[in-house]
Amino acid sequence: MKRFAPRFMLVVALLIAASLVLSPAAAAPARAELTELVLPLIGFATELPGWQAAVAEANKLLEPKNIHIKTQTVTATTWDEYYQKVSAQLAAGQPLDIGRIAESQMPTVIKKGQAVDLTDYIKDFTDDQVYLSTFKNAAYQNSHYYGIPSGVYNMLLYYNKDMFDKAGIAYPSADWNNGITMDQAREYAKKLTKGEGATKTFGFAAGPYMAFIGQYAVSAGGANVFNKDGQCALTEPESVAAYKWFDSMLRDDKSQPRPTDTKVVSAWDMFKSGRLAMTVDGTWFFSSAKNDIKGFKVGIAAVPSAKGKAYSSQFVDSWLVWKGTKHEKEAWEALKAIYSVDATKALAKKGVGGIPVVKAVLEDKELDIIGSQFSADDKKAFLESLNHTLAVPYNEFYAEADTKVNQVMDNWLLGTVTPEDFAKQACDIIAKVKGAQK
Amino acid sequence: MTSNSLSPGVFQNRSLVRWPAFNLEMVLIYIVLLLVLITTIVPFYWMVTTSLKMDEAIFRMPPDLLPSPATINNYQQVFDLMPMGAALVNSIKIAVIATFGTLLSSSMAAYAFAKIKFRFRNVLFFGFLATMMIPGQVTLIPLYILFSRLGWIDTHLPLMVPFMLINAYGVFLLRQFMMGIPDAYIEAARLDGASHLQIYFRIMMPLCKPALVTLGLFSFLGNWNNFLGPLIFLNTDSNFTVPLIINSFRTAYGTNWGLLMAAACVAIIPPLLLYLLAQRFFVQGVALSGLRG
Repeated sequence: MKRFAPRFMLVVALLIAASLVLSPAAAAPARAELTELVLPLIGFATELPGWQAAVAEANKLLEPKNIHIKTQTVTATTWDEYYQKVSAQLAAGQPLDIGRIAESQMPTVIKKGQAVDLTDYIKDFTDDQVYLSTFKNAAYQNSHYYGIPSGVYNMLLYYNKDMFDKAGIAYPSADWNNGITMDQAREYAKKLTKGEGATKTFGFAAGPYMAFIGQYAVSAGGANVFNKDGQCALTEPESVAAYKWFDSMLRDDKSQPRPTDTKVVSAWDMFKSGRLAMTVDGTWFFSSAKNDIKGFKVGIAAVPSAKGKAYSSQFVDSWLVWKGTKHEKEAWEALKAIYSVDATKALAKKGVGGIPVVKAVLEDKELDIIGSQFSADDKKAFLESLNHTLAVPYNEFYAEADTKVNQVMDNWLLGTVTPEDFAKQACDIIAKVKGAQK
Repeated sequence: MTSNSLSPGVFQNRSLVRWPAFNLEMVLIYIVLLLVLITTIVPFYWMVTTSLKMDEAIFRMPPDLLPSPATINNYQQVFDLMPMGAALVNSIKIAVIATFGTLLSSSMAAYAFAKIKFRFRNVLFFGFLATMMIPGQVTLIPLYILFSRLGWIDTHLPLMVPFMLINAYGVFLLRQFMMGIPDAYIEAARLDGASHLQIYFRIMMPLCKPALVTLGLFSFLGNWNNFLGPLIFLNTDSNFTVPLIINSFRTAYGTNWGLLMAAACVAIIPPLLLYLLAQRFFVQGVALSGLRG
């Protein structure tokens, strides 16, 4: 029986050895001669390969400079979660050097002093190389740049051409100076709504969120969430008219799906499955419109507007250098490498990152970012949208206010409160959050 | 009359054909069981069929009962977009090592609590059980700081070592089982000159096989499905486990249902195989250790 003790010790030793040897820490190679920069990337599976391809190209350029970008994948389903996790890592003293974050988070990042001021470095870029105008977004504050765009996302009207053909309705206009009006869109939506229950097809869907409502209010001559005095403009007539427009489609025409309809099946999933004729959504779905939809032809048009001149809400995610990095200059070199034509092309080929801000890539005819399946009008609508973008007025209290406004939005969408009351509630929330942050 | 036909007398003889007596209670039980079966099977069916559908067909109304056309594109994409293969290996490695560690440490502690008499045994045992009442989330930050100082962040060690060292639930389950084993076995072995370690390995372990299999299965599934630990401790996607990969198909812009369901189908294969292999012991273990509800 004595032979059991050694056998037991052997089992314990094997278990401990296996856990240590099989652990990646044990196998991590030491690369002391390199300056390794850590880049935490948000872990959206459909986007990661694109960003990783861009980083791989950037690393090729950085090799002679002895700089290497190491990506970390931050598992998060929203940018809020990503920012929380990265903030926790920074607070815990984890070495993060560069990053990429949504525009909505930038004011908070800047306010908390988490981003390096890149103003002096940005002189390395010229207007011939990049669209410098896109640099002035939420990452640009008090004449200082704290981030550089990783790409531009904006809103488009996607529509199902087959449904329009079947209903004998002319396609919505691709001309952003003379687009379909909100009244026309409502009429089209009514005509395109068919059936009842689970098989119902809806005419129109769009989110009446704070980031999107401005594109309708501004087209009517109103303000984009905040007026000139910085006060909430959601109760002003142009914004209320936009809310009423949504309300009429939800309640009177029933041509727009309600939150109960989109709780599980999102508006975009409805559109993809041919159950929605028109949807106003971002260019983040462009790759899906280009590659996933085979059952019908997708058209692109100007976002509906009050008087014909259309606006498109714009979202510019940023590359940044995290404050506290020990390698600020190398981090800038890394961002320049990510901005190279090769790296940006690698990203664009995967259909990720929105519209590139590197001119040579967007203008590359061989690359054909838009895709051959779209008509000349669709391409025109896509490219012209960039001349009609409207920056979302992000500030340090916007993200928190937005979350809280969204929490009460369902009360209106489900018919418990009127559009006017909802607008008032939203302004009260904004005032409260703004007051609390002061 | 054909060769297949039977003479009328066969059916007239009631003793040859036994029709079950109509029993309302049984009918109701079968209806309830059928409803439970449907609620269990339908999500599983939806998961499998969705994983085989084209993206645009997933939410088509009326829904296609069978994917038409069926495609394995979602499965290919799951492996192309994310390191699913590496995640499977990582998850299996973590679950297997942590499970064997749990079985070893829990069974030794359970043996001590069940069969060795020492002072404050019960107080210690109840103190041990009290640790089950502390939610894992409460200890997450201190653990993160500890593992960070040990240099274990972005390694699999925080996901294996704690489970290998202590598992109050496992100790409780095995102690309950061991309490049911007569002390006469141990006394006889002691008379033969066996030490506690020898009794533990030679007598208790073979007798505890059903309970060990049950605990092993619970432990494997717990580690296999662990989401919070990997989420906090892992940063590099080549170190990721299966639940993190599955979660990556949900994004700020929506959920990619086809990919999510394909990943979920892949993820259930190892636990399903394990359950099928250990089913006999599992039922026995649950019944004998008093876990049955």
